[in-house]
Amino acid sequence: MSSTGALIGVDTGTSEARRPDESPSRQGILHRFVRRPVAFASFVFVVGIIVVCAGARWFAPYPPLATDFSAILTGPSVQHLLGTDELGRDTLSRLLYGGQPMLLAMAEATAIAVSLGTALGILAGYKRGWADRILSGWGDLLLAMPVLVILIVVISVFPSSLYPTMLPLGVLLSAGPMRVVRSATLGVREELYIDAARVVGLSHRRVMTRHVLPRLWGPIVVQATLVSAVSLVTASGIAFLGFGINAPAPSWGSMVADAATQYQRQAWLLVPSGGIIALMVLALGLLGDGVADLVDERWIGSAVARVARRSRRVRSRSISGARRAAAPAGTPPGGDGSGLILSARDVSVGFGDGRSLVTVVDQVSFDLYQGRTLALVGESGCGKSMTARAILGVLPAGGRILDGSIRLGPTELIGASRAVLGSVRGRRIGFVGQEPHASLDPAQTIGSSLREVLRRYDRTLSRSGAKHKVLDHLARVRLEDPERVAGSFPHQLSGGMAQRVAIARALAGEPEILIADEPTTALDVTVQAEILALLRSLQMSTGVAILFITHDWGVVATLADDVVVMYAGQVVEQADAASAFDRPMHPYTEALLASDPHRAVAGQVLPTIGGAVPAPGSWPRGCRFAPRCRYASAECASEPIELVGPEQDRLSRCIHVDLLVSCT
Amino acid sequence: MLAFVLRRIAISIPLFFLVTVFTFVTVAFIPGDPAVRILGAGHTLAVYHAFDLKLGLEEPVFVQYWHWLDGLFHGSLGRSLFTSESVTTELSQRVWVTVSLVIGASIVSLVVGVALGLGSALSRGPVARTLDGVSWLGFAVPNFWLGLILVEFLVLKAHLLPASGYVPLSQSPAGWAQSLVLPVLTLSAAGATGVAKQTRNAMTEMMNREFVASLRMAGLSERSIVIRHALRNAAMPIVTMAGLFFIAMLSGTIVVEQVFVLPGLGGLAVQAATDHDLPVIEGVVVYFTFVVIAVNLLIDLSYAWLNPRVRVGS
Repeated sequence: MSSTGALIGVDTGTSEARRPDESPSRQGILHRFVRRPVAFASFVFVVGIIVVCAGARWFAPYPPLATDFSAILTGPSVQHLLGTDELGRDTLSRLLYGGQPMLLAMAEATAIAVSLGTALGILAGYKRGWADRILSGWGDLLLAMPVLVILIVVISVFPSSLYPTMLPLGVLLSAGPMRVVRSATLGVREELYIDAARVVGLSHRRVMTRHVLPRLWGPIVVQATLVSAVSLVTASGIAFLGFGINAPAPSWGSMVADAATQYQRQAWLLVPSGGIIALMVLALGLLGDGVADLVDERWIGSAVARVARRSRRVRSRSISGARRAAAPAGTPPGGDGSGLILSARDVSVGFGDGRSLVTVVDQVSFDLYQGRTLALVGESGCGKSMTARAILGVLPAGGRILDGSIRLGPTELIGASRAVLGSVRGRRIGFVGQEPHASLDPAQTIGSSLREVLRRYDRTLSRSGAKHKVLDHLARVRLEDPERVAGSFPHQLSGGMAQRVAIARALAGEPEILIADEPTTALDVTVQAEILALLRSLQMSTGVAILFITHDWGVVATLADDVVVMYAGQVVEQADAASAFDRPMHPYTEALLASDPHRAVAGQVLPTIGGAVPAPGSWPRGCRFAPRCRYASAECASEPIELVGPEQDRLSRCIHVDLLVSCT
Repeated sequence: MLAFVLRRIAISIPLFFLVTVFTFVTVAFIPGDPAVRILGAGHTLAVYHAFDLKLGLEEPVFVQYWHWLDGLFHGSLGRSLFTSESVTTELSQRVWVTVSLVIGASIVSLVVGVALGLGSALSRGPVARTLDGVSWLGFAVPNFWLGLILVEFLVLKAHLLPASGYVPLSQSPAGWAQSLVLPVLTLSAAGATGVAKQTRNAMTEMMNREFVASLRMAGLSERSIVIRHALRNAAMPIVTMAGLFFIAMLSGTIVVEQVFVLPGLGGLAVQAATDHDLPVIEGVVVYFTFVVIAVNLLIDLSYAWLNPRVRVGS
């Protein structure tokens, strides 16, 4: 019966993970609530049932105990909408009266569970330390109790009333709300203004009741609906077992038990009695679910809606002015075009569908050459990583390639079949990500993860052969003691070691291209240098082409042959590395270089680029960098700017190149 | 690893004492004199007194609890006030009915739940929505009602299975299995849907993790990513959920055994509660608590097996 109890505190959605936000606008929430038909209908149903049961005296067509021996076990009829039982008592009336003890018991257990759980949860989350540890242990203890067995003990003492039993039930069920409130409190607690309140000298109790509690109403309401659902099922189960209700007084649970004795003669009786319990529990569950969504929506929904609205505008505009930039200069910085391995043309990547489509990569083109390194440079959020992942066709959920072409030799990768992509990934193009630990399966040893890819790339490889090759590959990325590393789990390795492992895995298939997505950003400076040196020497020995994504000009200087600078989803400049450093031809490149800490002049303030990269979906119509650009003029903002080649082997998306070049 | 296990065992000790002390203290509140209830009215005071003395009911609660603990360590839980039979004998006969019911229901919940959850995590759209609907039903339908409805349709209407009653395994294995089908189905409905939901959530989260993207970019097959990597890492929350449902199912057996007239611990608990038969109630509590502790321990061990961080430390 109380198997549903297991849901509490465990599977209540994401509400507990998120932090409540600033000011809850109650009106807006009510408005959104009404627009959720399922949750709203559930709410109306629950309130309706509570009202008609509470007012059974007025709403019920018959007294609950009135017998009518001329109409026994009739089934639904005009006189008795839900039929009659074996004594001719009206089922509808008994259902309304029978709801009273059930709903009262439910309210009692819920009130106890929610108030106790909230109080202890706030205490644990706010005080932390030993209070938290003790209370968490207490919560674990409660969750481990067989609820009904405990209740049976209480029932044996108070067999004729439901209400004493609801007290321990409430205490047992408080574990769920306690957990959820605790983690929500932890989140709220981190926020500055709570600290501010403390500094001002408010007492702990005051901070908790005045500042923390009001922010937790969302998760608490969700928990309250779940606890009510469970207590209702439990209370009706107790009544079903024949406890807590004194016959002939009706209750939903005992009506199911009564119906069970009659179902050979009139099976219908089972329907209303059990049905009302199921519907009520269902409505409470759906209501809780709806509130949980609503609470989540308050934290993320408004932002999503805003982006969607904006992107709709942008999209319609970009379609109306469908001026595709001319294909980028066919003369890549490599020179004669030999050694070309991969060629990306007009690649666009977007998230969402139809009207909520947001473009994050906008017609990006570049080429990769054997033995050369192309650095893709730009601030966070300019679409570098999405471009890199688009090559392998592995985008985050919701993302897809909208347009363009990516050719690996004769093979078109965009729209390629799973089999083609499977033969390219790892075998022809390797990938190293930013967070070495996050990119490795935490439950797998390093040896096992390398063996797995090696045997995938070479199906003839034997188990023992793979074992040897694993050690070779680990040695190749200059890991000391490969045997020990092979037997380790990712969490046992340092960041630098884990990144070496990730590089070993990326190169295990002897690919022609290595995509490295900020592989040194998460590492210490000394380790960064080692990883860069490693990549360089691996490139020398294997001739692999590297697409290196970075925002660090120091890295570009060390490693890159060619540079593509991206801003707000677009390529804004393309050059060989030396020229990009000497004579940038886009104000963004220039600004990036100026703000590079490696080039800082002692005693002078390091310049920064004012403002931030505009979010996808809110890109300006004209030059996307114009709002932050010191060369910007009125014409910059009026029309989209084309990517043009002001010089041999150079591309720039700026109409003020001349001005820029003359200034530097 | 050993330290981990010992720590977990240490946690189960307070659980055991909390439950048994609670039982004793609560039972001490039973209004009226148990002797009067058991012997009936009309005896002399001396008779009642002798009875109290014999059962130790005169002593303070904590002394009674001490005697009871002492007996427990010597393998005795006292005798039923009504049948005078040894509580351990009575419980041992019934515990297997309950345990086979709960284990059966757990296996069904896990297998069906994980399969459904996987299916819905990997396929979007109608399958996921159907599963949502089904899992709400599993959440909402009280199991005593579900049991009655299954009996109505599968037994009385379709005559697919015998109605109720229990056939011991020693008497007829096939009959035993048949007599457990409906109770297991009834008991596992909520668990299966709960596990399915949890599986779906955990898998959806895992499939969005960076290491899954990395494995994809390394060219591994989708099937091996799902089964060997994502599911393996999603297993912990799934096992946690299954464990909670296992404990909830122990409660559920009390009701389900009533519906299907099975001679398990649950029926005994209900009978003892009606009769105020203290030693039996306490015995039932001890048995259930031991099963809960054992299951919690198994779950913790499975954590260690599933999560290398628990096993080898950092």
